[in-house]
Amino acid sequence: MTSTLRPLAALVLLSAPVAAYAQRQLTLTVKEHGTGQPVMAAHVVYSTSLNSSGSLAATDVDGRATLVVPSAADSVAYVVTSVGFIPVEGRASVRKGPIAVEMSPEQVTISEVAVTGSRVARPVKLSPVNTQVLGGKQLVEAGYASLQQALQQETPGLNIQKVGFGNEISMQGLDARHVLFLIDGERMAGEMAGNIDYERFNIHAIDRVEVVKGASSTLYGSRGSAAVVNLISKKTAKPLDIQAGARWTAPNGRNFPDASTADFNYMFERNADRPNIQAWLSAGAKIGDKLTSQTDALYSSTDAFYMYQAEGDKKVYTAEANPWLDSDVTIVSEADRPPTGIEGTEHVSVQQRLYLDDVGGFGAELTGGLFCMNTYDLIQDMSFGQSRVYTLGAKARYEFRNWFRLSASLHGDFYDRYKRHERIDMRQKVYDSRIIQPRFTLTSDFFEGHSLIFGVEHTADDLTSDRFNGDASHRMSTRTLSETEYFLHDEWAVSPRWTLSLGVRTNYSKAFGLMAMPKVAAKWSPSESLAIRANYSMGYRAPSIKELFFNWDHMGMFVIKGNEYMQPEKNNYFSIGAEFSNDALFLSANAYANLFSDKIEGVWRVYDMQYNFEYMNLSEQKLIGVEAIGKWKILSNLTLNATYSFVHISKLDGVQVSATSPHAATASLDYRLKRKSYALGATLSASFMGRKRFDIQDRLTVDGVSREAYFRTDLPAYALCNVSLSQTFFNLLRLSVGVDNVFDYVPETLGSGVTMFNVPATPGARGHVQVEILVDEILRASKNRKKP
Amino acid sequence: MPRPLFLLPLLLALAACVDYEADPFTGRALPRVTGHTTGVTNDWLYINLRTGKTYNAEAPCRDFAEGMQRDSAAIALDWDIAFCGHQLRTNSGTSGKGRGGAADLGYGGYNSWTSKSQVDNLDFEPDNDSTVMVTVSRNDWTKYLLANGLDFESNPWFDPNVGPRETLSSANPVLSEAIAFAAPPPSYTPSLHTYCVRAADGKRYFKFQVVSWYDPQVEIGGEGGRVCYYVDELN
Repeated sequence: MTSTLRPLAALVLLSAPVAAYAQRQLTLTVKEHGTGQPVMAAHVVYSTSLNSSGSLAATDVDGRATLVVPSAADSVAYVVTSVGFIPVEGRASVRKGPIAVEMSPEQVTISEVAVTGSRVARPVKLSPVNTQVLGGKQLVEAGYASLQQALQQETPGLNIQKVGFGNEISMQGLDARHVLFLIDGERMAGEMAGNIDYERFNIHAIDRVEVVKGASSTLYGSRGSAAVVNLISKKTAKPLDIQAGARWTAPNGRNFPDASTADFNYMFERNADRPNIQAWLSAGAKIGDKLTSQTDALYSSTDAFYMYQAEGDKKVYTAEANPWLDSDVTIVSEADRPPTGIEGTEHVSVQQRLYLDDVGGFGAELTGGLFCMNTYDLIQDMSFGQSRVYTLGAKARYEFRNWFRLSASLHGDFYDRYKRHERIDMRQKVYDSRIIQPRFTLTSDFFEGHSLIFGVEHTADDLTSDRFNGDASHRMSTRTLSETEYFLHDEWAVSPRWTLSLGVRTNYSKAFGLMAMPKVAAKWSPSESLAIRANYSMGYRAPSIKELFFNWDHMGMFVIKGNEYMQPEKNNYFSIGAEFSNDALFLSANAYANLFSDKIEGVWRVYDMQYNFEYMNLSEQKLIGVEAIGKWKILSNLTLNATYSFVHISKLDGVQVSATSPHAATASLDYRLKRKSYALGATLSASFMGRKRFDIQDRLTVDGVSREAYFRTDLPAYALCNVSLSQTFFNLLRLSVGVDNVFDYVPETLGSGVTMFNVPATPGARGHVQVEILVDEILRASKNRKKP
Repeated sequence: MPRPLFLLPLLLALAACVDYEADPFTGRALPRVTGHTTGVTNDWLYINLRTGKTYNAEAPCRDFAEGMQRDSAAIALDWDIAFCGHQLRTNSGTSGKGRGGAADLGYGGYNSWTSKSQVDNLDFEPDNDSTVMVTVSRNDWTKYLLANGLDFESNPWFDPNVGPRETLSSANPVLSEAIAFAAPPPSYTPSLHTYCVRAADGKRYFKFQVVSWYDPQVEIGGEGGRVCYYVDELN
């Protein structure tokens, strides 16, 4: 329930005078406005003119709640709330019989409960920590094929894209090593330069995504020094909830249309032309009041493709970045630019969760997951990549009144990576990464106005790989990093207008000793519509195993070199922001400064005919930025959403090492029409990325002498626009069509060498068709028909 | 357990299966890696296509050194084609005393070339020593710098704008297109063109196609350079 509703609910609960003798039952039915579909699990708070103490009820699968009221009462007052809907309040005559309530979906205000910013469930609006919440259902309805695409489109300043091999992400001018992705608060293994396999995210299995920007190390440890993106899994509230769907997208390109089994590289050719398809199944069941099962499975295949550049590479060595030059030097390569290959993938993910709720204050959760992926890069090296991940988790909690809540969990993520031969049926393990994380937390709301959390967690991070040797020996060896961390955090409702968040976390590791990270956040709400937030937090990030120990020659293509003498990086994050919301408008603006010292950076250097990615501590780096989010309900069915992000990143001796564009923006126009047996949704969205200018370390020969030099990469601004149209028939079948990159933008410049990581990996305009079936609704409708 | 769980094995099977459907490779692979990575700039491996005999098959210059392929009477006509990294020689022009040479038959179509009469009237390009470059080995570059008192830092073996150090070598300009090289990162991509190679005796003809920089038995993650090719005589 939001802060708006709390006083209202209290009023309802307290407004009626005492007494009740005989009682009667009254049915209240909640349906969605337009579609007439029942709204399940809605909360109803009600009281009567004779009953001073309010009562609670919840709607069932048919949207019905039973209100128990005194027979003598004349009227009943009620407030109905449900996540994703605008709350409804009303009063009805008891004698007139059943009450019907219609709820409209929320389009502008955000009242979801979020947990990431404080590890304690609370409405977004009340949290002192600025949290962006994206609803999983809304993302699917907007036509997104994957969570990566949705995040890119919906989150200001976040850029996530496929590159030649793997993925690359940046946010607020920082790369993946500073952005912590969690699934239900738990980490994932198998990162590569901070990037995990984002394909692990199943957009159809997500209830919501919570994005907390700014250093969140206090709650989530050193990997969350810039932002935390927490994916909250779907958990059904229905007795049976089954959805299935499939999606087809036009191929990205036929690379080998005449592939034949006689071809030497037949497997390579076939894998380079996989279809763009997805199929998924989401099955939930609530067994009794206490036990819930949720199963989600996804199969996905994507087509690899090439991107081309018509002209030779152009490099500009500026005098600013190379003070030894009298003026800028431009070199245009006469050689043809080889195409850049964007890998394809084929993967399956399966997730099974079991929840046991509230048995005498006790609750538990068991999680199991499996993810398998083949990655088909466009490098003809007789092998392709395979990944396999097992996830296992167990959580138990015990709640004693509002005094305290104990929670203990054990989470394990086991990631194996293989190379599979393309002509011989064999594979070889190249990488084995494990995270085992026990955690214990104690939460208490005992002290009035305070929500306290104390926790301790231990992370054992093991990596076994042949990538520590610096040669082609394939000898596997293991490196381990262990950290033990304590955290204490308090959310203090000082007054109805003021909320404070205070926290500290200590980190101890044998390698780097003891570190303490404080955090202070405050929220001031001068009115119901306005909130001002300010935040200071210290971030701390110890070097990862790879940053310390990697020494990997990737088949002569590039070398990644760790540095075991590196020190942890620290950052001080300051932000101040304002948020305004009413029924038609939501505006949020946030300014921040992120000041780094000893920043750990991977720097590309070119020598020995290879790109060498070397980790080192930079002395300092300053990132200063502004972000804004806006939602405007133009008409009852039409909403405009927009985000904007600006970041200024300091240079180091005239050299810009960050590839982030100062400007990024997204916008979308959503139209929703809902009728009893039909719903229409249309979304037009655009993401804009500003011009990028940054320096890449290189060499330049002048007057016969070769010297280390930086060339400036200048990549043009671009916008990618998508259009999607979905129709839902009888609330049983949803058919969506759309076009991604509708204006067919294809980058003309791929950039030299590693610059390619910063070019949008798009094959151009591609249409898609998606079908979703609500299996449980079909079964229910079928049963109802059979009834006499 | 919910019934849909039974579908999971099916979904898993979809991703787990890896079919090895390619036909067995019936061509040839070089017995070893050749070229600058072995430490020798002119590391040529010679093959007599008529007899199958190979020279320098075990190590660079093991059977004879650079120049002997042309100057030694015992060897001069006993080879038809030679490999050094991604460059090739025929026994002709500046490379040898034979009457060899090569002609480009175009992309693919390897099986459509079946008879000598199809290639009788083609123009065969002989080798020369003025157009084809081979990569200088790091070894030889170091020796060069030391011999000339040059600074290593100012004269690196590799420059991203011009690539690794190269030197002219006697080779066949037509066959230099058989494998495209680009760097960094280094990549070797066969053009999949079919070529006709005339033997040293000037009478016999062989169709020839490079299909991979890797041999089919290469260890996973192993080094490339054992070039794979098809070669068959046109009768």
